[in-house]
Amino acid sequence: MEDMPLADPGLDPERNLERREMMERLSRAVEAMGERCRELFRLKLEGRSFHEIQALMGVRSINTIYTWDSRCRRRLLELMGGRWEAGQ
Amino acid sequence: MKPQDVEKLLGGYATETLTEAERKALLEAALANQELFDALAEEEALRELLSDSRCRRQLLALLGAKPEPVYRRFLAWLGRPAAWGALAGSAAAVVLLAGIVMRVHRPAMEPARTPARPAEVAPAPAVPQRQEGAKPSRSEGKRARPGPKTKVTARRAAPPLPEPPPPEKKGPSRQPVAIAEAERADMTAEARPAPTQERAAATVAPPPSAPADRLALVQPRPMAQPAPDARALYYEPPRVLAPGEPGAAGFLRSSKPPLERRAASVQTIRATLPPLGLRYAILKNGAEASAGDLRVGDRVALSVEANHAGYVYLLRRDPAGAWMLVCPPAGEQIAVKPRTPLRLPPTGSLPAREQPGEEKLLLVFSRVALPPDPGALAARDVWRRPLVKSERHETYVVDPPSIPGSRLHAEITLTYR
Repeated sequence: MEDMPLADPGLDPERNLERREMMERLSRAVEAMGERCRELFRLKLEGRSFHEIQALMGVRSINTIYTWDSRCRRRLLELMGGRWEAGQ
Repeated sequence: MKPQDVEKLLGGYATETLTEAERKALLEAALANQELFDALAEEEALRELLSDSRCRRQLLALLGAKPEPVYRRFLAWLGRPAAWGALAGSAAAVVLLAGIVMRVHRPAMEPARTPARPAEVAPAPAVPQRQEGAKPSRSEGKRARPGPKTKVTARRAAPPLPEPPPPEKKGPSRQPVAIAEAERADMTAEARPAPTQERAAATVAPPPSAPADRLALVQPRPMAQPAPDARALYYEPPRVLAPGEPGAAGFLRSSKPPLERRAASVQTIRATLPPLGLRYAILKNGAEASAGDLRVGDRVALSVEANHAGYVYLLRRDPAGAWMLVCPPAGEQIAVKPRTPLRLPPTGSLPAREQPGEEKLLLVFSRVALPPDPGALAARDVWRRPLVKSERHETYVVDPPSIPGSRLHAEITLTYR
C-alpha cells in the first residue's frame, strides 16, 4: 500500500497506526463489494446527496436509494469483520 | 419519512451525504432507539477516516473515479457545514487580528497630533476651564476618583467630557493617575491623549506596558450567566447546542464503557433535543398537597406532566425494599403528550397507607416504551442526578443538560403522619 495516507501530525502514533490499518481494511472491503455498492460509495465520496444519487442512478424512488445504501453499508461492515475499527 | 426508513440513513452519516433534514431525523431517531444510537456512535470512526481528504481521494482512485478538479473539490468542501464554520472562524480571527493591529499602531499616530493639542485645549471657549477650588462635574468627579483601576463599562459611550487643564495645573485630587502615567511613561502621547482615551487612561490606573494590555483592560468583563434551574429547563424549547457549548457534552448510555473518541459524536447526537423533564404534584383526596402533609388513610395520587412525548411509569417501594410497578397495568403503556397533565394511577389512587411513615415512589419518564419490569425501570446511572425545583405544590425534575439521557427518574418521598 504505497499510497497509504501520511501520518497526521495532529494524531498520536497509536491513532496513526489505527487509521492506517482501518484504511487498509476499508480498501480491501471496497474492492470486494458489488458493482452497485461501489458505484453508490463512489458517488457518496464525491459529495453527492442521496437525491443527486437517485437522479444519477436513474432510480424512481429515493427510498430505493436509502435501501440500497443501507444494504451496502451492512455489506461493507461485514467485509470489514463487523467493526469499522479493528480490535473494538 | 417513515421511522423504519430513518435507520437507512445510517450509511449516509459517515460519508456526510445527508441533508440537514435527514441528519436531524437520524439523530432524533437515534435518541429514541438505543441500538441505532450505538450504531451511529460506531459510524464516527468511519466518518473520521473519510473526513480526511487524502483518504477520500485514495478510495476514489480505487473505485475508478477520475480525480475531481480542484474547484470542484473546493465547492464540495464548501458544501459541508464544517467548512462554513471554518470560514467563519477564519474571518473572525482576521477581523480580530486587524483590530489588534490597528490598536497597536494607533499610538504611533499620536505624536503627530500632540503639538496641536495645547493650542486646541487652552483657548477653547466651549471647554469649561476648571480652576482650583472649582467643583468638578459629576462625570469628572467619577473619572478623577483615585484608587484601583476601574472597569470601563458602557458609560464610555457618553458624550465626550470637557478637556481638562494641563497636568501641572491640576489639583492633587484630580487625575493623579494621569500625572503618574506621564511621569512614568515619559511619553507625550500618553500624557495628552484624546478626550475619550484620556478618560480611559484616567480610569485605568497603570499604563499598559504593551498595547495588548490596554486592550485587555478596557474590555468589559462578561457577566456570568446564572445556571438555569429545573423549571426553566422544563419550559425551554428544543435547540441545537454547538459542540463545546456548555451543556453539549453527553455520555454514551450504553452497555459498553464510554470512549472518549465517541463522546464528541454523542455531544451532537444528544444536543438536538431538550432534556427530559417532568412536572408533578401530589393529590391528596383530589386536591394538591405537599408530600409531607399526608395522613394515614388519605387517598393519594399524582398529577404528572412531561415536556416531551414519551412514556411514564410509576413504581412503589415495598416494605422489603423492592420496586413494584403501580402503573401502567400489565401489558399496557401510558403514553404522554407534551405538556398534557395526566393522573397516576389513571383510576383510583395509590394503595392506602395503614401506618404512618415514609413511602418511596419512583416516576420514570422515557422517550421510548420500556418493558414493564420494575427492576429494569428503576435501574439508573448513579452519576446522573436530575435537577429538581419545587414551587408551592409543584415539583420540576429535569435531566441536566450536561448529561442528558433517554430516561428520567424522579424520586418522590411521601410522608404519612
